[in-house]
Amino acid sequence: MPNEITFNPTGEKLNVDIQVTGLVIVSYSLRLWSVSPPEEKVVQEEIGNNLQSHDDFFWLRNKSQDHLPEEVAKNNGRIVELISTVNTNKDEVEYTIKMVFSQGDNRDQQTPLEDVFIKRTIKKSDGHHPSLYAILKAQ
Amino acid sequence: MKRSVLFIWCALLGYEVMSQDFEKSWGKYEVDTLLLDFVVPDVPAFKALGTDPSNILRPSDVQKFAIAFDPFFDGSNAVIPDNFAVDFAPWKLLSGGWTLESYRENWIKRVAYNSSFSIGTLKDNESGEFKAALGYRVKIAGKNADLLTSEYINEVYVKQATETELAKWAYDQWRKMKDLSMIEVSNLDSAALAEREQYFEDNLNLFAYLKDKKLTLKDYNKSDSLKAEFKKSNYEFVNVSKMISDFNNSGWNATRTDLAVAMVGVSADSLVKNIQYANLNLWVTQSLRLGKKGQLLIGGNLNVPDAGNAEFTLSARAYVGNNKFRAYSEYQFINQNDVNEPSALINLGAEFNFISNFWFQFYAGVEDVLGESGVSQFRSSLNLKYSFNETAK
Repeated sequence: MPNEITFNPTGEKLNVDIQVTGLVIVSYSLRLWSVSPPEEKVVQEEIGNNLQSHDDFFWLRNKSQDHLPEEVAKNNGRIVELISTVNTNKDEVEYTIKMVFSQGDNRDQQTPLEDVFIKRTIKKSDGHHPSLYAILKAQ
Repeated sequence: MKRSVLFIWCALLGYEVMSQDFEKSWGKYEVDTLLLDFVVPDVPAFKALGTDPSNILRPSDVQKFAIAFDPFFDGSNAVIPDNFAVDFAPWKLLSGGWTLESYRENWIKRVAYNSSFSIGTLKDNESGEFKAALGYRVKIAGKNADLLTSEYINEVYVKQATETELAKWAYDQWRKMKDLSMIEVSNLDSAALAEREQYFEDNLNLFAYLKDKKLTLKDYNKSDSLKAEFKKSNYEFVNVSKMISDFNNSGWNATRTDLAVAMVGVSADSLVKNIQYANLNLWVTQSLRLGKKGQLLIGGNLNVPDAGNAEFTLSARAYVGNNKFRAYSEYQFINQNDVNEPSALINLGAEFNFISNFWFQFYAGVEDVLGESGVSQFRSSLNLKYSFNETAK
């Protein structure tokens, strides 16, 4: 069953916050896919890591058209993909990577939606490359 | 549980070996007063009881949890188990909910993470007395002793971003090879995603090669010549795990401070309510990095008994070697209140890590080099040691 994130198409901006817990070193690549058949294309791409949490919050929109106002409803059917690399220098560490979706024009005043997460344990010599997917659905 | 069983076995083995050494080498003295305890022990409660089999000679990191014990209850009374050992790091257990950012910014969290508590009991088969000890130890790592707080982590992030780019490219290649749409990929279950991840990790060098040569996975799978070229190239992608491993290996001699305290109680029987204070032990060791291949340890141990004078030990040990093998020389001064004169030791030795956490240790030296008692003697020992906690290799 795909992870569906239901949002209000007439509401405020749609956002995702990448949250990582556990003493792990994480880098990630976030992509927003437009999948209107037959075309599939990346409309937004971000990279980040868990060194600082304040820069892991992203507005979901077609980044190539940043100069134009974009309707939140256009996110309907889009796919959010998160590909990560995880390492640790500790013996065995439990970690969680979470995509927290919300709506709100102001970062400090968000209406929470659904979360998509993965929870795993990593050992010192391992390197993980987990991925997460979510499909955005207008109410 | 498996690790605990292994530890108990090693503890018994080590204790036996040390007991034999004691009888042959140290004669009338108590083991605790003569064994070189100038480095903070892994499990202070064990050390304070004189049951620590390894007499740890290396700074080490705390373990999340380990336990071994006999029953606590005898009929209706709470009793001291004959043999009981537990070592736990509560904040390490709880750290799954912490963020890396908070760990880096909050020194209290770092101290808490590197703290462990230990409880140990021992029954003296001759006197019938029970000894019980409570211990605490903490590691205060220097800036370059912990990757998560070191500046090197920035280099790791740069490398990791490259690896993430590669993973993204490889997952795209995998999707195209399987002729899957993004909708289909997003509908894959966790097992299928795990399979894709494993495929990438198993073929990391191949994907790095293909990306570097601007080739596709589809083309590669169809072409025997491309496969032969790749095989011939011996292409190797240095992943982040390797960088971290290199950092850890070079950090065996990092600057750090280890502190421990243990309080011992004695009971004439096995009832918890009859325990009385016996002595308090304090340890401190400062480890200093001397270039890439050297380390200097400066340590002290203070033993404050219930009756009589406090006893202290001051020691220095210099290592030369690496994370697997190191030779050392050491000097130790012991003020022994029960012998009425100070004692000193000079030793030369070596430690060799032959498998996992097992170490061989050999040393030879002269006891009582001050010569005031006129009984200076040559001493030597070969020990098999097990590092209960993770060594700082």
